[in-house]
Amino acid sequence: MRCALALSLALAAGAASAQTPTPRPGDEGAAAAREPFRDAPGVTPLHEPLRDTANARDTRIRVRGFFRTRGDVGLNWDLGRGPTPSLPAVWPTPYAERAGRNTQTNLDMRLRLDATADIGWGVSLHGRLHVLDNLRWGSVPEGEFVGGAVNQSSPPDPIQVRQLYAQVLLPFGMLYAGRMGALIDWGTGFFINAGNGLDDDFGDVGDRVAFVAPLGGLLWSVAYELTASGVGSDALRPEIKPAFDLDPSDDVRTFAFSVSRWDAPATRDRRLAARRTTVNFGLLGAYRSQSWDLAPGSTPAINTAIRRDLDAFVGDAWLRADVGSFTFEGEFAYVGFRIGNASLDPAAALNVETTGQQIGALLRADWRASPRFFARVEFGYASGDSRPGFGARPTNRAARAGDLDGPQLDLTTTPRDTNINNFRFHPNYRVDLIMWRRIIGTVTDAWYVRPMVRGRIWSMLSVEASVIGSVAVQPNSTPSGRAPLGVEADLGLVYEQEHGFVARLDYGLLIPLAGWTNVVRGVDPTLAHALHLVMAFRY
Amino acid sequence: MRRAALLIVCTAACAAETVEPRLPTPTDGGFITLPDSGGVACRPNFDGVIARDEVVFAPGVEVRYRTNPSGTAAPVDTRGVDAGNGRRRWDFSSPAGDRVTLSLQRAEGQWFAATFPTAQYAAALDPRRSDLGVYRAGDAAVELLGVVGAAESAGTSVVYESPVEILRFPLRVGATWTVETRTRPDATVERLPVASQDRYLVVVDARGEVRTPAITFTDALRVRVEVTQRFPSGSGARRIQYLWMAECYGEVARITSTDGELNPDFTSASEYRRLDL
Repeated sequence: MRCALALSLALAAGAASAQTPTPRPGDEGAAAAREPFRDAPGVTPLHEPLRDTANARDTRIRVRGFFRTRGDVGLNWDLGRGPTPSLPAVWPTPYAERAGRNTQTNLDMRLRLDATADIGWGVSLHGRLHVLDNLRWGSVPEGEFVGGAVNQSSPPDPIQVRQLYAQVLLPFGMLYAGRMGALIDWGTGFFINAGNGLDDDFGDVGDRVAFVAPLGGLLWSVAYELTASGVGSDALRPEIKPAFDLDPSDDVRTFAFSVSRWDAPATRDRRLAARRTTVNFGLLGAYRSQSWDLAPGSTPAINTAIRRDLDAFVGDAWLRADVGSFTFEGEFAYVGFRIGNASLDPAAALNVETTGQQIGALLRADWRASPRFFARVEFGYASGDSRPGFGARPTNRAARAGDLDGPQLDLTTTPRDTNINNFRFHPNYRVDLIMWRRIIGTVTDAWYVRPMVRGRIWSMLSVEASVIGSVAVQPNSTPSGRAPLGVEADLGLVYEQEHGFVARLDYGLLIPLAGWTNVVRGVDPTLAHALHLVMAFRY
Repeated sequence: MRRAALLIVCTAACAAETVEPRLPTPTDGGFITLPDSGGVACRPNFDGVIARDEVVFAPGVEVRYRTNPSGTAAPVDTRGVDAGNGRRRWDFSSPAGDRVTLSLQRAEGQWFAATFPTAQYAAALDPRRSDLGVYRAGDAAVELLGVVGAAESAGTSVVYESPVEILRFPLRVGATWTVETRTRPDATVERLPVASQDRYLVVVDARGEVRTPAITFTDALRVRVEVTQRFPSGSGARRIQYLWMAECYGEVARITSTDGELNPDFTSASEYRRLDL
């Protein structure tokens, strides 16, 4: 849903940068009128393709993207604290040797291909493919005795079509339709994140139609997303092709609205260089609903229908002010939902509602002392839930006190805990290398402070250093029941060779605090280290 | 007291078929699914028939119920309301009462294992009490073999000369069977000898929706069990019990009359038990 919400600004960006077509009077209509066989059924005029080619308008195809490969070294990511009630360790450890080895390595790759076809007449088509997406090196060797492998197999899903949509410039705005993601980052990116970054792993897409129009100096957008269309007619009559949406009442629909003032990055850079005060802001809201659902794996019938009664609302407000060499930025996000019956079983409907009230916030202050030096202080907050575990990557296993993760509701307690109140930052929004990114999964149920500095030490070389201190909002969510989580220092070196090549090497040191203590065994956590290398070949 | 204990024993049916609810995961959309999990495959087919493989008996399972406190009488509506299409709707959603946990224990290795060599599991006859019913779940029926105390020192051990078919599969509306049995001569309750001749009349008499405090079961069968006991002294006892059975969930509610009840639509129950989370 967060991606649907991002759409409004994403589309706004598209509208702002859309090309104005250069219309030339074509002779398409006249040629068709002269065609003697144009109305003859079953006859294809021989010169039809030639005429189409001749009349094509200024078509241009652009291909952009990157190939990236990443390498990681993790040391002691289980923090040496021993098991939780449900897991042998907070991070999966090497299995072949029982003790003494807690170093892990990983290499992966991804090719991203963003293709745009500018057709002319204000129409363009857009697509995004991922090839060998996050494929671990050496993960598909041929043969069962891998020691003798001389070849790698193709993974089951080597090419993923992530986005495919079209846009057209109308006299009164821009219309979009298709499968699309958030094409830019809304606000700070902690809530809605396009996943466009070189080191990003996650990206949301949705099937939408949207319209963006400039009015009064602002960009206004509305979007409709068919988040889930439910079962199709092929479930009952497979001979009907193409399949048709069988029942609108099981659809999950999302409506989004946004209004914003947003400058494209190039525009903002110009204004920053000129020390002009610039204020950008955005406000968006989205509503999602679903009335009925179908039991997973069931044949559609009245007996297998589940009354769902789902309603959700998402709101986000963002403000950024560039004042001289400073930038002040803040974003506030709210997620509220109600599920009348959260059961997946049509035979047993829950009589208690599942609800959520989740709040996230981010504040930043930036200082650009010179073109070579940048500093930032950031404060982040994600609301928590009092159930054990963080709720970042919940499983179906009921969490016990001391667990790293688990469901954030418990219907077995008296009174029942039917609320899921932990806000989860978008997992692409990374604030560290080890604790949030790897061990927990994303920022949730916590607040943090993160100062960082970045300096350019050579024309193509920069260094970056940051420290983050994190504290749990709900101490009950941590493995020890104590709030202080950790301090992590990260140091990065970035080499950027023009546009084509970027390499970044980061080192992270996590000092875990009392929140990770194993209180059952009386074991204090120990230091963890990380090395993270990204090499991106952009085109 | 001994008679009462014995009567409770006799009407105790399958106890703990339901398994733990599964909680949300990212992969299932974050929703809760409630049918059997943990390797037990069961999917309701809503055909109004509960086959043997649609009821799970798994030792080790624990089920939580809400029930009226021991020794109290609970007002109940066993009749429910007409929901059309020949179905009824029962509302047992009142949160009143205590939460109790019923455990299905493996019979093997228990102190009474030698007395019941064919038993598979034991479960409390009444979660408010400690006496256990001893059961055998076969391919066609669940049989009550007898009753024992939770510990040997309790001095309760009742063995039926012939097992009591508490549930005979498949269950469907209209199914009826009668079982007559008697206790073995060495039966004792709290160290005192007991003897009785028991007659069970079991009728699957209705189908419909059952609403419990947390869950609504859309398609359940009501099983009426009328137990009549005759004692050597010539006296007798009678009790009516209703069980609501749902595909894959087993017994989701139970109402037991007070002693001597004759009216099948009784409104006061000695036990008012319904599934809770």
